[in-house]
Formats: sequence, structure tokens, C-alpha cells
Amino acid sequence: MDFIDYAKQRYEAAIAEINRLKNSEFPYDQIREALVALEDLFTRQVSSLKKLKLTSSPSIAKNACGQTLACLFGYTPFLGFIVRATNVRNAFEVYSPALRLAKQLLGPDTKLLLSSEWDYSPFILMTPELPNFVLIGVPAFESSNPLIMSLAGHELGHNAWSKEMLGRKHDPDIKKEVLTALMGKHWAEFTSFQPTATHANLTTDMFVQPAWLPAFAYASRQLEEIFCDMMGLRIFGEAFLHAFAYLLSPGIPGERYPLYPSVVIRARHLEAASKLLGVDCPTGYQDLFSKEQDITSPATRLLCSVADDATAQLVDKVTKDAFRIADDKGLPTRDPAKVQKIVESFAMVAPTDGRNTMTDIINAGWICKKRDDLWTNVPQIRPETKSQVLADLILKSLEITEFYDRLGSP
Amino acid sequence: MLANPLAPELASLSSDAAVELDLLINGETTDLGSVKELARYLNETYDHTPTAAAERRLAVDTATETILGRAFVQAGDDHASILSNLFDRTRKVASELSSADSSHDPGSLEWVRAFCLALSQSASAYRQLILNSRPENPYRR
Repeated sequence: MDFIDYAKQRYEAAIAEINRLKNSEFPYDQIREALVALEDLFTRQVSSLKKLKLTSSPSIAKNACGQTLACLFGYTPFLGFIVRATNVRNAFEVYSPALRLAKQLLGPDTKLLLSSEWDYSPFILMTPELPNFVLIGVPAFESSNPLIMSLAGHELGHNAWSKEMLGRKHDPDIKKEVLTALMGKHWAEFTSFQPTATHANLTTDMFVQPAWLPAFAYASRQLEEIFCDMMGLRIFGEAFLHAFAYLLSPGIPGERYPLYPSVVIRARHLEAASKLLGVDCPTGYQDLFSKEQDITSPATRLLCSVADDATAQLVDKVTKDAFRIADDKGLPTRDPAKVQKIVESFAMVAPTDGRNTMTDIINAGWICKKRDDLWTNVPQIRPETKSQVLADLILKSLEITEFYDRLGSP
Repeated sequence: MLANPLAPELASLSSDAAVELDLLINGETTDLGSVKELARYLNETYDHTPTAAAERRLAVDTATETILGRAFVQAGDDHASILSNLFDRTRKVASELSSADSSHDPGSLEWVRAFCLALSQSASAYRQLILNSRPENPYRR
């Protein structure tokens, strides 16, 4: 059974690479800790492979080797992420404030890795195999732009969703709403795809359940995304709205993805939640985004519509979850007076002094970013360098607040 | 508490359990660490306090219920009734796994091995349902 030897050799190569990477220089210890955790995981895979014998049943051995192959597929991107987390392109000034925020939301054992990624969408890597690790990737050419760090609020939301077991909490409601939508206005279309379905066997027949299960999976993920948007909005306020629009507006042309709510719907929910939080949502915010095209595949379109209907019924619940969790953990909200003070410092081309939250600093940054008259009276700052100067002021302010934090000063 | 069914560990754990049971059936010496761990895992899916049969439901989410249901069907159970019987079937397989050893009836061990393999494949398949719906780079092949 050559495939067993191949599986073992693949892991020898992977572990050898991890050992080479461990000799790198790391800007912070948690990067090395993630490497060690991956090495442990890969070593456990080797132990599983070593149990296979020549007498093992081929189907069992193939499945075992297939599982270890899936593990390599799943975790190779983690190694790339770790390598890129050491890149000087990253704004390391953001790291400590972001770690503090992550610990506040997720607990004191939280370990954070920030990486500049060659993937345009910010994303998070999460796995139970690396418990307590939060790996946030931001697009390489934006990784030194502190203004988009407010999107980390959304990414941290994914970890909060998992840690607070909100998927499990809302599971019965999601299932109920999916079935209600399915048995209501979508029933005729659904039974045209699944003629054996009846109201009675939807939840009892394993041949019928897979026909609607994708709608459940889509609704679950859509709600998680909305929860994360709400978490980002709750922590960063206006700065989240601006960063969200900066990175995503007007949306990618083409069909929408069923695991995400339509971007226009996301903007609508953000507008509504802004009113609840007293956040100043830009006028016409929704209009920054275009409606994606409907999904072409009739079956997927139907299941996505069912998911959309189910999700719409539960938005309020996950919004309340996000606000409650953020309040319970004492996460900051932006303080208008402090934001204004920071804006005044930036207007004088000076970083702000004293201890300030990342929320206030980044909100001040966005206010300055949107001011056409900023530094028009400072001839040394050319219009084309304004963004870079502003980014430097924000990063320096984050460093200063870090000094105060570490010294325990008020 | 059940692990996340979308995470790889349920697929890996049940695969490891199938490997150990396979060794046991083939007369090889093996520890049964993964078999016992899977038994504990399944034991945690149901409430052990006695209740009326009609109220017996697994304390699992929809994804886990589906993964278990598919595994039982793949291992030979009836598709139309398995979800109604999931509590009793899961409790039975957990018990079989807990007590598995070389003195066990070979036919019973072979069925449990088939279930573990099916569970591993079912968990992998459910994860794929999610992965296949993610946006991909349009230029990537």
C-alpha cells in the first residue's frame, strides 16, 4: 500500500519545513507558539499513520491516509500565514492594542497573529486544533493602513461566535425558521426538486433532509456574518462603517455567495443597528453598494432564498447578542470628546498624547481622512502624502497609548 | 460538549477509531485510545437521565444530527427511520465502543468498525458542503 508510505513522507517534509521555520526571527512569541502547536498536530497525524499495518483493511487505511491529507490541505495555509506574519509590511504598532482588545473579548489566554496576506478580503483562520489562537489576515497593501483595523472587530466576532457557542444557541431557531420558510412560500418549488418530500418527513428521512440542509448551513453562516458586522460596529462605530465601505463598496459584480448575506442587506442591517447604538451612519450608506446578481442555479437560488428568509427573522437576536457580549466584556465604544481631542492633535500634525483606546484613535483617523481641508495650511504635506502622514500619526498614537498602558498610567 | 462537527477532529477521531478496531479484528495488538475517546464523545451527545421514549432526543445541533444520521444509514440503518431512532442508536454504538475489546463478538466489532468509517466520511462530507460554498479566486484552478 504505497499510499501509506506517501502519507508518511508528506508529513516528514511538512515537519522538516516547520523545523526550518522555527529558526526564523519572530517579532512576537505567539508566532513561534503557533508553529509549535502545528508541529504537535502534524506529529499526532504521524502517530495515526504509524498505526496502519500491511494487514489493515484497504478502505480503513485509505480513509486514514485521506484524513491526514485533508489535514495537510487545511493547515498548509496556516504555515504560509505564519511566515507572512513576520513580514515587516505588517503594522506592528497595531499588534499590542489589537491583542488587548482580543483578550478583552475572548479571554486572557488569547493569542493573536496578524499577517499581511495576498488575499484581498480580510479573513480569520480558526481551528480547535489551535485553541485560543486568533489569526487575522489583512490584504498586503492595506496591512500598514491602521484605518482598516476596525475590520478586526468583525474578524474577532467570528471567534466570539464560536467561543460563546452562538451557533449552537441559535441552532433550534435557525432550523425552525428554515423549515417555516420552506413549508410556506417555497414549498411548491422545493417539492419540484424533491418530489418525495412531505411536511412530515422533512426532519425524519435522511434522504429528504440533505435536500434542505444547505439552506440551514447558509442561514447559520449568514447569521454569523451579521453578528460579526454588529460586533465590529459596536466596538468601532463609525470607523467600522467607513472601513467596511472602503474595502467592499460597491461589491463584486456577479452572483452572490449563499454563505454571506447580500452586501446591500448587510449595509441595511448596519444602518439600522447604527441607530440603536447612536452611531452616525453616513447618509445613503446602503447606496454605496450594488445588489449582486441572483444565483443562476435554480436549486441553490431556492435554498439561498430560504436561508435569507430564515436569517431575516433572527437578525435582531444576533444583534442583541453582539451588543450584550461587548457590553459584558466592557469593550470600548468611541468617546466623542476624546475622539475630538485626538482629531485636534492630528490637525496639528502631532500624535495624540496619553492613554486612548484604539477605537477612539482610529475614529479620529477616519474623521481626518474625510476632511478635505485637513492640512491645506501645511505646505510641507502634499495632498498625495496626506494618507501616509495620517497613517503614521495613527500608528504613533497607538504606540504612545501602548507605553501608557504598559506603564499603568492613567 | 460535542466538538465542532465542521472541524476536522470528528472525522479524524472516528478514522483513528476505525483503524484501531481494524487492528483488533485482525488480531493485532493495539491500544484503543481513539475508540474510547469516540465512545466518550458520543456519550456526551445524550442526556443519561431516564425520560419517556418520545422525549429522547440527542443534545446535538443540526449538523451533528445530520452527520450521525448519514453515518448510520451508510452503515446499514434505514434512512426513513434513523432520525427518529437516533437517540437509541447512538447510545447503543457508544456502549459498543466503550466495551470493545478482543473478547467481543467479531460481527459486532465489524459493524462498529463500519460505523466509525462511515462517521469519518460523513463528517468530512458535511465539512465539504460548507467549503464548496466559499468564494474562490476566479483565476485559481
